[in-house]
Amino acid sequence: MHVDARYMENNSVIEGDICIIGAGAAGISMALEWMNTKYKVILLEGGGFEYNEQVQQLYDGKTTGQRYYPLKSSRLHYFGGTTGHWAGYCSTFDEIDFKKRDWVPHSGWPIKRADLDPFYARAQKNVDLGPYNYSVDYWQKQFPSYKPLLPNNDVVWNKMWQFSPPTRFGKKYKDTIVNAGNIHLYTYANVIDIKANENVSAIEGVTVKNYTGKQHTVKAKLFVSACCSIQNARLLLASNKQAPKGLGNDNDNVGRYFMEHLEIKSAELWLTKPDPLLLYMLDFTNPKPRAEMAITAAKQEEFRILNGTTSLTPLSLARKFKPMIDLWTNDTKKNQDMFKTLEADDSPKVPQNGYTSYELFTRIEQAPNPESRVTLDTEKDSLGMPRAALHWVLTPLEKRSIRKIYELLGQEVGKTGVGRVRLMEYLWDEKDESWPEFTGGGWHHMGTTRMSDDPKTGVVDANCKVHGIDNLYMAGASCYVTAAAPNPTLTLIALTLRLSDHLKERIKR
Amino acid sequence: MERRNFIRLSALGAAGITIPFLQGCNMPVNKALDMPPVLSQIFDAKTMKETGQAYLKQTPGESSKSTLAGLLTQNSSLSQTTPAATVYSFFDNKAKEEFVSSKTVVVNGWILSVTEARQCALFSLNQN
Repeated sequence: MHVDARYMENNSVIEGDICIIGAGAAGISMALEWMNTKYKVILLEGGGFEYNEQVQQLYDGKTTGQRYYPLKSSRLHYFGGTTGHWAGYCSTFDEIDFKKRDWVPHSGWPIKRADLDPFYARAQKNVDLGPYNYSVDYWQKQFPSYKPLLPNNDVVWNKMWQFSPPTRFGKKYKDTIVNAGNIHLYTYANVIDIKANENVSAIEGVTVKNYTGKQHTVKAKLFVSACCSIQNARLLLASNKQAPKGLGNDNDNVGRYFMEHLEIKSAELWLTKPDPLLLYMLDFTNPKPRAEMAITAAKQEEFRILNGTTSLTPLSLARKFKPMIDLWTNDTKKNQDMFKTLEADDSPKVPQNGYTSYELFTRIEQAPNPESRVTLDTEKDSLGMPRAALHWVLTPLEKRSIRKIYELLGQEVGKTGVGRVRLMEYLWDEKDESWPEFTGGGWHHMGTTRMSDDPKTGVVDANCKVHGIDNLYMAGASCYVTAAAPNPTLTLIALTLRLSDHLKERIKR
Repeated sequence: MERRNFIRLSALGAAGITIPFLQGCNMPVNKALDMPPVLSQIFDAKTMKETGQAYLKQTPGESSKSTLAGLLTQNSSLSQTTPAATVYSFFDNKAKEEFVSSKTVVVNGWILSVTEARQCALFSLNQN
């Protein structure tokens, strides 16, 4: 059922068994898991079913440090959340991403990749992907024209990606959720405070508010915050009536270790003969799985670098695109004109034999860094909640890793004799730790309520429960300890399904 | 970069034509010495020259034609009468071997085998 909280009587009290805060990929995935159970599920969404500028403004906030996108537009604040504009890129994290790596400070999850395997398989369905198979051999059999530039070896491997249509959770799951007898969806129900008991060992309820000025209370046995990394941190920090530093923040970890994927053009591949390299090509009109080139775990360890992948785009096409950090920062007329130019492009179709030059584009984790963080601003939003402030910080390890990745790729390409690799100028000097102006992220917000068995080094435990608070859980990419290379959506859904199974067992007891 | 200006030369090599020795040089240097096989299919003359100049700048100890020719032919059986195709094949294999053994260098961003970087350097000197 669905209730619009704007039209409820002021100061209503809503009660249920489990309260899910946020109806994006994580929140909706969690709610779907609880459908047709005997439990009353309260699903709270701050926005409605459509974009609303007044609601979206609540996500506005300041950014400092490394240049970043406007916070207001990097997440969508309505039913379905940011799946309303995601591109559908999906792949799994690697085993190494979960391990403690002595060359990556603050790495090491309390769970392993194998712990997520069954949940990845289930998550595939939520985002309408194909079979849970990310082996290049498997996909080469499905698409015989897929030929790797470099075969998997002890240095590089071809990491497969699948593409969601992309599934817009708001459209796809609206009717299912609204018609579910035990799911009680409240729209225009922004949580502005989480109220703990006197000794801050459990949550008693949350306060929701909307721009009509109405305020309500939600009570439940279990609370799951699924508001995305920035808002999860903001909510915990702003809920400081009982705990002055914010909930779950006794050790000053909430908001820290904010991570993004660095997404940046890095090199060029020049071939002696044209090659369509179909295995690596992206076709949004007919999405098929594709590969990106990656460095093996053994070589990452040998060279003490981060995990990243390389995608290929024909150079002639890539050169028409402005860097994403410029493109998406402002919706200027120049950007609109660029899209029109691309749409009207009358250049020849992809040559049958392919291209001789490709741009190599990096997607790489950033090292977890406590100085990269979300805090509360002094400015408040229209509901009276302090706005989020993001200070995004990179380290020299990211740049050294990118350079090393292309040195290794360049050597592998050289061994085959098919061509050569050229680094972009910002990577030429290995002592230069600066970043070029076009450095950007992938709009992937991770970290801020990281997972750890030790409350001193993390906010949630291996089950995503906030340390020290019996019935408060975090869902989504805010629980990530490291960012890996892939876009976060598939993994955050898998992690949420794992949390859901845990809560189902818990609530039975 | 305008590509493939050197394809003609590559094809020449493949045809097995002996190329005259470099004029004015005492070393038994075949002209194919300054034609790195893969790069000659990718680079235009300007890029080859600039890459060679950059290598010379970062490796000043190798800044003469004779030094470079000596380094390129050391421990090889290349001689004045070696056909260009054989020279070409020799350097093609040598570059691959150097990539295998990580004997590489970054020049103007290009990840090159040391030998092909030297070939570019020789090319740039021969253009002067």
